[in-house]
Amino acid sequence: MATDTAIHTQEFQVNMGPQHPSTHGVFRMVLTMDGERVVDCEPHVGFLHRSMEKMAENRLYIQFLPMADRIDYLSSLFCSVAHCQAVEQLMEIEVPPRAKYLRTMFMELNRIASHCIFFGVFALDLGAVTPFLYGFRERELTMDLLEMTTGQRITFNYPRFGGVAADLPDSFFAVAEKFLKVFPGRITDYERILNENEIFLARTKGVGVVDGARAINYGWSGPNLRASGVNFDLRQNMPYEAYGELGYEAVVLSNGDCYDRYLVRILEMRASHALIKKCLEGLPDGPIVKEKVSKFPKVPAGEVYARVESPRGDYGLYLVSDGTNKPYRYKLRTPSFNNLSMIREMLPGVYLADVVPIFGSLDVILPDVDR
Amino acid sequence: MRVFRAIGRLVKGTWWLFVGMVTTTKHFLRRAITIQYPKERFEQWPRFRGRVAMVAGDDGGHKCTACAQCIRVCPAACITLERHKEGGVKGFVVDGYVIDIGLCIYCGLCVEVCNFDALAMVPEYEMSVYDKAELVYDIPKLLSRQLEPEFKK
Ligand code: SF4
Ligand code: SF4
Repeated sequence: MATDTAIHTQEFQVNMGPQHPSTHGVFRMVLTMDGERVVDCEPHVGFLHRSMEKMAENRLYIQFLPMADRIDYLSSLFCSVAHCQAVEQLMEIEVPPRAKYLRTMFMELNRIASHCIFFGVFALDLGAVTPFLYGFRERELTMDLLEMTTGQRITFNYPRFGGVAADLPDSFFAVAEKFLKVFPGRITDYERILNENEIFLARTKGVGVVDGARAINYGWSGPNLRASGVNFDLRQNMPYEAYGELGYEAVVLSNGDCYDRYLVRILEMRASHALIKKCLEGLPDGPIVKEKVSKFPKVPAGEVYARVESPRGDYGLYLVSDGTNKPYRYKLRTPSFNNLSMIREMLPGVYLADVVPIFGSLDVILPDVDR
Repeated sequence: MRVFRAIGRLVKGTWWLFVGMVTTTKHFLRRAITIQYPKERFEQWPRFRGRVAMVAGDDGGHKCTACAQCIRVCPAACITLERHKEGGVKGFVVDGYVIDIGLCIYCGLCVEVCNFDALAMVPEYEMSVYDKAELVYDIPKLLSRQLEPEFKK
């Protein structure tokens, strides 16, 4: 009687999340495993759904402004700027140049804050604690600048229809100068800790590779897309606010693995730093808000699509107005959702230990996925 | 050949670990930027939007005229105002003005729309209480903390 000598394995399921420290929020993955390898992954989203779109449709335009900040709280300025841009386009308001520059500058500061968190959290996911503390320390510098101008540290509520809420305080320039001086050195420190670290390289190089065509097919945007070699950045390709005058060249890498997705963000921090410097140098004088724009506007009927390049990608807002003081339809196209959508295709075949870096390198934020 | 490559990787890996260690040691020797919270506190920036407060007028009372603009704009609907009309007085008479700080999202829009400078944001952030009812701020409570004059709107 022949005996069966082959090793039999049995697939089993591991539930990762919703309360898992590396899922950055509440996200559940049901992983079907064959030993150490992932066979299938079933993502579950929606734990953080707050019906933001419906809330917008039930509120005055100005009332939703502070709430837009809460769609993606790590880069909250982008959401409220998109909201303002949409309203301004429908009302045909021209934003004064100083307000444009201020918006641009604070958006870049916000981008740095967001990427700092990515840097810290991504390293923490891989088991390195130090970068986490460094990332949050530098984020504090940007938060200071944002707080002294806008009055809040995370939910700024800074843009207004036709401009911004407040001008720079006098003490701003000294603090900003200090920030601009120390920050490049801090990025160099980041690079020294991680960029060539053998353990970091072993865990990220060649892991979770996505080529450009696939990235486009899945509607990826932002740093993830640029890490796959696609040269597309709204700041460069469809400039808004002051980006057109400042000029911006996108950071593009080609490998499309976790390491490149990490490196793109580090390089973007440098690019943002340069942009902030340019903004401060070229800051025009003049009013910060267009006069005679009502705080409670009645927006003319029409449809508009406003998009901004948030730290996570292409943040789009499709607004339909029926001529009243509330939106008729408020459709959000949030980058995190599209970036996350490929997770089911990326995971099969990888080791369980690689799930965390792959998920972390996408830099999704769950309130942005579920809104 | 493979041995050489392995040794090369070993040397390179060790070198970059060393560079990383030097960086962390450098930061380790710097002064700590964290503070021991309840004993030490950060100084807030003047514009910090802590909570809503009422600005006292010259007579020490509030300056609200019951125009209800703040109620119209408040996204969290946390302001309640009681008012009535009185013969001989122009406008309204305020009977009560209550902000539920537990609902407030600290957006500052109410301060912005008030045309009578009756409201301000004060840099106060330690508002936790044991009873939710204490979070409902009435006029005397809203007047209890005043700003330095230059921080007013
Ligand atoms: S907007 Fe000012 S004056 Fe009018 S009701 Fe509110 S606090 Fe009173
Ligand atoms: S700060 Fe915002 S939420 Fe709070 S009372 Fe004023 S308008 Fe309402």
